[in-house]
Amino acid sequence: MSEVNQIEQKTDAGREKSCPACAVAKTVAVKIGYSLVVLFIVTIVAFVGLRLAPGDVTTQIIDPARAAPGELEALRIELGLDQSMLVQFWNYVSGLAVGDLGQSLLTREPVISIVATAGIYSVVLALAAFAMIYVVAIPAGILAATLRGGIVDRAITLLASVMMATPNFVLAILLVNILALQAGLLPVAGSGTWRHLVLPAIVLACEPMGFATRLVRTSYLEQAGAVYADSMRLRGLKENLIRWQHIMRNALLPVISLAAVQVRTLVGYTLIVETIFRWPGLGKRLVDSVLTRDYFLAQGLTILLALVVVIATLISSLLYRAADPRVRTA
Amino acid sequence: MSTTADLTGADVGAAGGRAGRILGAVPVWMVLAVAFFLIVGIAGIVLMTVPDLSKLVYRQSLSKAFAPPFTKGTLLGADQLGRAIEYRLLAGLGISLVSAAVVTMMATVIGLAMGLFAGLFGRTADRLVTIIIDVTWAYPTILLAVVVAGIQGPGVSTVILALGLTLWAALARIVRGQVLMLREQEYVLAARALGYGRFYIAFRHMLPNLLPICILMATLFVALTIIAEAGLSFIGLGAQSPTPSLGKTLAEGFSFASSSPWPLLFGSITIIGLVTTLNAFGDHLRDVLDPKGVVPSAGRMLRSLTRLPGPAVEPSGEKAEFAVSAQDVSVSIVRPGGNVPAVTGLSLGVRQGQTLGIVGESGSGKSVAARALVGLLPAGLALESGRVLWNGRDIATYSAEQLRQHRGRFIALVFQDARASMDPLYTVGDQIVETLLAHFPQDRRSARGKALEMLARVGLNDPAVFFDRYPHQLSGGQMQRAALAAVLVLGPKVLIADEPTTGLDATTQKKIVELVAQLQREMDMTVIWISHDLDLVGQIADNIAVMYAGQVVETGNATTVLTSPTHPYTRGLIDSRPHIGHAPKTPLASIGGSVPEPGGWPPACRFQPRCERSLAQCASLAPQLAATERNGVLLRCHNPIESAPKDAT
Amino acid sequence: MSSSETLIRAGGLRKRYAGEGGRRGHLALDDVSFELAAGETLGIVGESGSGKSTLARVVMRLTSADGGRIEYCGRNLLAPNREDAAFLTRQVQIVFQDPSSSMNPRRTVRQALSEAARVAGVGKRNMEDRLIELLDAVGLSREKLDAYPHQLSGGQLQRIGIARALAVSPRVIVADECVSALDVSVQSSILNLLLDLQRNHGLAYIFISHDLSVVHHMSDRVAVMKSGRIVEEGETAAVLGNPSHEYTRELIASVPGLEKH
Repeated sequence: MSEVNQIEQKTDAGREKSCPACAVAKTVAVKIGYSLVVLFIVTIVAFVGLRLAPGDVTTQIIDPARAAPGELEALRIELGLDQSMLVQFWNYVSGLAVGDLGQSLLTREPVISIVATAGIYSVVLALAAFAMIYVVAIPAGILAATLRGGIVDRAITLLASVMMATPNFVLAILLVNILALQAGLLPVAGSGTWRHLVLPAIVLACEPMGFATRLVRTSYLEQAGAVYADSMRLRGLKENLIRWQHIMRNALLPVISLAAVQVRTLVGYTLIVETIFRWPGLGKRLVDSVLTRDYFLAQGLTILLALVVVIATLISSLLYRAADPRVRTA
Repeated sequence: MSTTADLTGADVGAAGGRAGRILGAVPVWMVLAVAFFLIVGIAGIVLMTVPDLSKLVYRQSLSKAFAPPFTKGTLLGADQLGRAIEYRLLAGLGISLVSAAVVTMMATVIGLAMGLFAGLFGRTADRLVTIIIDVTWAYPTILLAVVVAGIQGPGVSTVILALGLTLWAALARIVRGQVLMLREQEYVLAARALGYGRFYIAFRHMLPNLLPICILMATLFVALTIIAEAGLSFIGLGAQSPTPSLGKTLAEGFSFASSSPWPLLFGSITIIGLVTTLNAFGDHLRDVLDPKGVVPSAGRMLRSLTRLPGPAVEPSGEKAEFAVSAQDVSVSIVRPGGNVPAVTGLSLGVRQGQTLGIVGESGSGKSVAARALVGLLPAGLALESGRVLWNGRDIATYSAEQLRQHRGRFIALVFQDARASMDPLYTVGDQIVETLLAHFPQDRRSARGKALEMLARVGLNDPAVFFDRYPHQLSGGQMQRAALAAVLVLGPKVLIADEPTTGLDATTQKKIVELVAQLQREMDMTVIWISHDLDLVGQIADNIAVMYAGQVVETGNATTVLTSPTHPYTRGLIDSRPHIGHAPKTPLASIGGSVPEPGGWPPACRFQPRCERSLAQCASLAPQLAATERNGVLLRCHNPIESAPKDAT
Repeated sequence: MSSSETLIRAGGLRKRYAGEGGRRGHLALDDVSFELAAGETLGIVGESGSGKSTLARVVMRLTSADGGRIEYCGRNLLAPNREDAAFLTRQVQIVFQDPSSSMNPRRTVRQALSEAARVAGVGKRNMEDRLIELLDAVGLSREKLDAYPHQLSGGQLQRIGIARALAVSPRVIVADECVSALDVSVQSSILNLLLDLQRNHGLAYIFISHDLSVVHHMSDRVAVMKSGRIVEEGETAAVLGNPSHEYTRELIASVPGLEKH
């Protein structure tokens, strides 16, 4: 209803901009609050979900076949697993509030220290992949768009499609076979030097890179044909100015939203890649903790990973607001 | 918006077709590839389910372990337990197919239901669904699979459950957005006005229109499921031995790669082939179901439009008669099947200081004419022939840099959609300054001063406030003024206004018209005003050119043409407008039929099918634009109306 | 049928749209009152933001009103009980502005019209005849029954929109900017059609438009709206020939061609 929209705008334009900073702070606060709610629900779901399964960690610590009668039960009480779910939940959440993530039920290590050591590896890997994705995708996408129809464009688009189609574990296999086993250029697995990072990062970045390239290309093409671009040419602005100041800025807006989505994808696929390359990150620890019913560790990791995704989404939406004035005053 | 409607009206809605048309647009090889995998996958399912056949999948023969292809008893070789690879892969494809089908169904049903619920059942429902989507979205799918594996143990069903429970959120979000948009469509409102309820509307009106999106997402889901299932099986969370998932086969092939490359090789080929086919198919479907408009594939789009090609005419020394003129210009729309003409044989000119009004309906080509006159056609249009002259000089003789300098300083264009003509990310003021600096280098302060001055001149009182506003913050009328400021700040000699007041209120329109007239006087400009509104043009133009179906049909002095039109079309246009002289509630004259689309023009006289005065020759011989006895009036008609003044009112 | 029978009586209508994020919403209708007699055309003219489209939606119960009352032949139109609601649906119908979205792109003319005719109680046996009758009334041939919207022109689509409104044999049709999106050369034929139908079926129209010339041509009485209020109302010739309100004068002055006379 255009009639209503017009009025909305007039009211907006007429309104006193009393405190723009306050408005921003308010929006940020609302978004953070919302994220916390989401995170809380995730916590509950993780908590309950993990406890749905039969059995618990005590069988991992003490072999039930050789346990003395009552020994398993005593261990259970010691670990606090006999209390009602509500009590356990309350204890956990109050612990969370002060930053205490509990201890691994299996190894008694504080979850925090596990997170710290393994977390660094995962972060390094993810960051490397993330950087790789955009350092390549943005220039490649723009290049393909500006040379539309030419051979460079077709090559880039094709390559991007192939990258999107290759499952990362398949790529891992191929690269390991060729580069590591045959040519001996890079180590097969493990960690320790920057060389160990190369293959996992490439494998992780491959599919998102292809997707991002195509998105940048499409977005750029869309903007290049926009009315304002022609209008600027008609006003005699230089083509380079139009391209770099205007088209590119508009074209990269969707990339901000995409980045958040890809963080989510990366967090998920890190698991597989870490397993293949035996990269000592959080992914492997998570799988193990779930399978051994090591609740606190599993919960802690779950919440942490969800937190990463939520933060990425939050940052992306704030960045988008900063970049696009239409969102700010809509 | 009028430009696109003028040019590509025939394309709108073309993609909303039925299933047959959609599939018909996909290349044959792609359909075959998809069919191939489908058949093979079904074969795999059969293999796994029929007891006698499934033995083939599991039968081990340790003597044949790592046998190469074409050994007796196996086609593609044997794996580490002597099982035939071809059967393992077939079965694996079967599992992939089943998983994909189940997950896609789950995700589609849940996603659709949630999206519809959010869109149709009120704000609370919407908020509820949104938060559920956000929670689901917060957790990466793969990791949820891990959790589910923790709960019920690893296995193919674990993967299916996990994927089905998370993928729906992506669809729900999109469906919700679509539903919110569809909700406002008039046919939905009409159904509501007829008393139909939400469920009826959801099923009868929304679902069919959501189908394309669902199909698109389904192809994505299928690809995702196959990859995820294979990946999870690869690391041991999915299918467990001896279930022959593709991922498992690949994992085994990988660990035994030193003994035999064949399982790994064939497994990789299979899965890459499958996923590539699916992705390509999905891409193609996207092109068909969700077209973004006709963008030409020929040439380098971004560089091709700065000049009109064609043989140039060297400038003569005399002063030009016209400030701007077109000589026999023909422009067509570039289509893969052959170009469609938009404007043919356009010849007109404006003298310095005068106002020319170009009048026409949709499809008349008036906007294209405007773009030809400024020498910059939009993407998708090409100049076929003719010349455009600025101050008597053929613009094809200008270099690209010279053209750039002339644009803006000599000739300027304001668009109908003023808001779209500015970058939404920059303030209005910054863009005016930018325009100034592109032609007259100076320091920013002085440029800002000039910009503020111009903003005030176009009637935006309180220019400092408007300087810092973004385009979306201005109302329609304000935006049009700002757009005028942006072009007039350079002081052009010629201003072309393409329907600048269409869509604005009548009172605003009047103000803009007066503003342009005032600025024209102050700046000694030539103005070309493009509109569908005869009354408006009649008030402001010295001369008028009436266009129909890509041609000028009548042109001359505005008062002469409008008070005693001789072309049947012009006459029809004037007579079909109600005005106060005409007795109310009595029938108006009307022109039968409808305006033909570009590409569907009648061969000879393009107005002939709708013309009451058509003669035999009108259908066979195209009339030329020729001078008439009346001074200065050119006419394209075989049987014009006798030029008597209209009945006095 | 007495031509002076008052069908609709509306008084004190108020509508405020909900605001986002704590803002007070915009007041679209502010104490609007009007009457509509059988067989007459009430023209509602106003610019964007005047509230005329909101008024159309409120009358059709597509959106709720915050205050005020509308009565149709004594029945409450704003909050009808079930029986009254069914009755009202068959008395008051609407034709919309945008021909390109007035029909579901995936359904044929036949399906769209049957959807409306069913509400009027037309059964399967009589449906085909009724549909042909409707198309006839709006000047379209029966072949159009199997056409899809993208195969029809703007004018034809608008005629189908009118046929749909006629399907329930209403006494009142709300025409919400129904010629504004059409080419000029097509507008007059639709206006002529509306006038014909009014003569033949005794329809009353609430004719909403921003185009003063068209409103003047079509209406017996006219109401001028601005910012949610009716600023002037009366017989068309009186209001437009001798306007008393400042805004009406401004509106008339801004229409090229209107002023000349």
